[in-house]
Parts: sequence; C-alpha cells; structure tokens
Amino acid sequence: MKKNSKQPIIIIALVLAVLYAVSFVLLMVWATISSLKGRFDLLGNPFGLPKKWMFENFITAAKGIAMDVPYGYSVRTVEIWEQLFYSVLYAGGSAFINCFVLCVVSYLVAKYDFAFSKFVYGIVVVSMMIPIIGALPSEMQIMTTLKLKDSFFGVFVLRASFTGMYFLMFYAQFKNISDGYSQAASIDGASHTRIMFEIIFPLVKGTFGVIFLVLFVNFWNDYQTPMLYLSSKPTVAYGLYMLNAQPRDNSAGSLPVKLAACILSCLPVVILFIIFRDKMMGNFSVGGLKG
Amino acid sequence: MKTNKKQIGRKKALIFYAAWMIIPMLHFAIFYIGVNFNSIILAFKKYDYAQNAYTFTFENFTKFFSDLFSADGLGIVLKNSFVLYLWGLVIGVSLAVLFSFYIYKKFAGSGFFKVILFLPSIIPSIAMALIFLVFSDIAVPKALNIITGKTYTGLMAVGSNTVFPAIIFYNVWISFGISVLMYSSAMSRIPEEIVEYSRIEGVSYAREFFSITIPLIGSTLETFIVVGIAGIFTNQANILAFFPTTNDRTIQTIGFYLFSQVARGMTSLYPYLAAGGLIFTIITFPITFGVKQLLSKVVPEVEF
Repeated sequence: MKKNSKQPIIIIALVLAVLYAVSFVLLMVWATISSLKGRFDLLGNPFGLPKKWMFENFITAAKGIAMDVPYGYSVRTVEIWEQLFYSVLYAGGSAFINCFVLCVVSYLVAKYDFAFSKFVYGIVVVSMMIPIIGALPSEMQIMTTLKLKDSFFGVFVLRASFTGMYFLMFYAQFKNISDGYSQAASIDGASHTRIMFEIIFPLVKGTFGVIFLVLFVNFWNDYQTPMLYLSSKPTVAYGLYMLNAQPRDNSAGSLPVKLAACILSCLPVVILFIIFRDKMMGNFSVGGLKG
Repeated sequence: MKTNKKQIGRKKALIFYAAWMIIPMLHFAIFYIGVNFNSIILAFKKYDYAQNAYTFTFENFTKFFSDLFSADGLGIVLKNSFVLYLWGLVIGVSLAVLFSFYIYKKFAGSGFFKVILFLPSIIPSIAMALIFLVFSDIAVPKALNIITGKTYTGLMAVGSNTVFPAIIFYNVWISFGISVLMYSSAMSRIPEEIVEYSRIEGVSYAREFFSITIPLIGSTLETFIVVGIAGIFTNQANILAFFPTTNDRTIQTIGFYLFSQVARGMTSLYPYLAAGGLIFTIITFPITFGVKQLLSKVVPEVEF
C-alpha cells in the first residue's frame, strides 16, 4: 500500500527533522571552517572562508590539550599521545568491566530462580527510579579511604556495577534464551561455569558488543570521572575541558584553536561510529517498570 | 537416589551462583549501601575546630533549607532544575516521539535523520558544548547584526539574560540520541497486522500516532518519564562545559551545583552538600512513585 507522506503530521515531522539536521550539519561545518581561521579573522569574519588557512591550529590544539599534572614533588606534562593511551585504557577497561559484570549478574538473575534473584532485580529497578542524590562527597571519601583515587584499578572497581538500564537489556536477552541449551549441556556433563561462558554467553555476544561500544563511547567522552579520580592520568576529554577552563598559554586559549581541539576530539568516536554504525544504532529495547 | 542427585545438582548450582554473585554484591554493599549510608552520616556531621572532632548536628539541614529559600541562595538553582526538566519533558520527549514515528515509518530520509539525531550523543559533550558556545557568542550576534543592523551580545555572554534559555535550548537540542533509538525500537515491535488493519480502515497517520502507536509504546515512555524525574536534581545541563568556573546561580542547576562544589575540592562543604542531597532524595522518592502510579493508571498494559 502506497504511503501518503503528505499528511500534516508527517509534513510537520519532516520539517522539524530537516531543521534539526540543517542546524547540526551547519554547526559542524561552521566549526570546522572556523577552526582554520586566525583569532581576529574569526571575530571579524565569522561566516566567510578563512583569509589565511591556519592548518597549524590543529598542531597548536594538540599541544594545547597537554596538561601539567602532579608527579611526586614536581609536575610533569602529559601530552596528547599519552592522553590518548589513557583514554583507550579508561574507556576500554571501564566498558569491558561494566559490561562483563552486567552480563554475569543479569544471567544469574534471569536463569537461576533463587529467591535472591528477585531481590537483585528489585535493587536494579529501585536504583534506576531513585538515584541517591548528593552522594558524591561520600563517594570521594570512600574512594580516598580505600586508596582507589588516581588509579585505573580504582576506576575499574568503581565501574564494576550491575545496576542501570543495560542490566534490563541483558536480562531480557537471557530470558528469551531457551533453557534447553543449558539443560542439554548439563546432561552432557558441562559445569555451570562452562555452560555460562561456552554455551550461553556466545548467544548474546551481539548484545554484549553493542553495549560495550555504547559504554566505550560514553566513557571516552567522560571528562568528569577522570577529573575526580584520574587527576594525574588525564584523558583527552579531560584535557579538552582544561584547555577551555585553564588554557596553558595565549595561543592555546584562542577560539579557533579551541574549535580545532573540539574537532580533533570528535575524530576517534566518529570513526568508531562510521565503522560500527549499524550495531550502535541497532534495536534497543527496554521493558517497562510495571510491578 | 533421584532426590539426592537433584539435591546435589541444586547445591552445585547454588555454589556457582554464590561464587559469581559475591563480588558484585560486595561492590553494591560498598559503593551503593556504604556510600549512601556514609552520605547520611555525613549530612549530620559538623567539624568542630575547637574540639578537633566531628559533632552531631542538624545545622547542615537548617542551613540548606535557609539557602534554598533565601533571595540570592539556592532557590533560583532549584527553579532552574525544574524549568529545565519541564522543557525537556514537554518539548524534548514530544519531539523525540514524533521523530521516532517518522523513522519507524521509514519515510524519506529516515535513515539519514536517525544518524543525525544520534550524532550529538556520541560526540564528546565537552566538544559539542564548546562549539555551541563559540557559535552562539560569535556567529549568532553577527547574523542578527546583518539582519537587523543592531548590535547584540552573544547568547551565552556572561551576565546576559539569554544564557539560561540558551542552555535549555542546547540541552533539548542534544537530547534526542538514545531516546529516539529506544522509542523507534519500541515502535518497530508493534504487530504489523494492527498497522495494516488501520490502513485498510482508512486511519490517518495522525490518528495512528495518537491512538495506536503512543498507547502501544506506553511502557517505554513510562520508563523514560519515571527515570527522568530522578534526573531533575542530578542533571548538570552541561553547565560545567560552558562555564567551568561560574558562581552565577541564575544559570546553575542543582546537579551542577552539587558536582561543582565537590570538583572544586570544597571538602569543608561535604556535610552541607550531603544534607542537601538527602533532602532532594527524600523529595524525589514520593514524586517518582506518585508519577509512576499515575502513569500506571493512564498507560494501558499491553502485551504483544
């Protein structure tokens, strides 16, 4: 049946979507062109092409993102390359650990009908609906007391949580897997651990991959956790924040250089998105919170 | 013998279950229960310099309430939090559902719009915010100047009364990403037979949207709305990215205020902040459950 796309609601949706798309694309194109201008060129000529194409702004930006961090009794400079390494470590490690814990706990809750499973499910739902506000000072105190601050181990420990929306996604996946798989494996003598890792987890590797990707991007872009808990191991996102908040020098603080730094910081995640676009934007489903 | 085997099997399952649950539960005990319990204790503490020890006090609560209702205190920050949430709920959710419907129906350009709507949520928030800040401070005044001939200050110029409206606009503008994905995924699960039947009966897209699609994705909408209420007091609105060092309360939200004080190392304020957080948690609890109960009555329970 042919779609009649001329109905008012569709036209309204299309107009608004086009306006949104134009605003986003124009903004990003403007930012890219502006990042190639000199500071006075940008102020006097915000809409034209650069009078002089300043590709060196990107080099200045890469140098400007560098941060001075405490090192014993002195300071050391963390350049962008080291920040990239810390970003990969922080994002990759945090995403994997978070994903793994979510996967294991949701599997146990979905497939093992002990009374405790209902309790754990309840914890997840309640914690989603009622986040405890203002607990950050307390969390800082505990991280400091446990000597977990300023270490990747500490941040990974912090990320090993099973609460959140992705628990429900994994849970729904595991619930949809027939018990026949594990029963057949059990009859063949497989242990519970072997069933979990070799039979069931491969069936959800697609979901694991998608959630890992989404979490990786979230942690890559996160500048607040490194600010609080990785102060001497800054990530690129934290470096960009500091470039804006406290530029190292006059050249790093210029607006075109800041825009160049923004464009640079977008590149890794945009490349990831281009490669994994279909997976990252695949079918997400979250059930309701009834009951 | 059979019962014995079953018992041994159940015991093995229990040992396996406990072995894998113990570390996540330990984590939960420390970083949820422990952190929140410590936060409650902290809220009642005050450091007595004379005695060089912490004392028990209600002072943090009285001071926070007093700040909340004072003219230049946190009252404006609280109001900003609610205003931001309402704009996000009314405009953000409405537009997200409308866009999702367009994408679900696979009309012209739906694939492209899906990507564009998702992009702001993968680009680093600090980068997106900075680009918006520079654009609104440099390009927008220039554009208005060209159109009207008058001189304007930047939308995000410090002290300007356009700053918080610009912050609201920005936060709604970047909010569509995951929500559009979720809503369009929920819509794609609507049985095709229902849609085809409505087409045969001559139901318009508008009628389908309001009478079929929205009711059938009600549980997903309900989840987002209920979880969103909890975000009223935690949403930082990207203010830290725009204005890292601001003390201007007319542009702050509760979420930003609570985070920024900790990020600035204001350890002497920890008990005060903990008390404030506790107050807002207590306020959120009945609101969340009230809204959930209300939505449960309004949103039809459907299974398909």
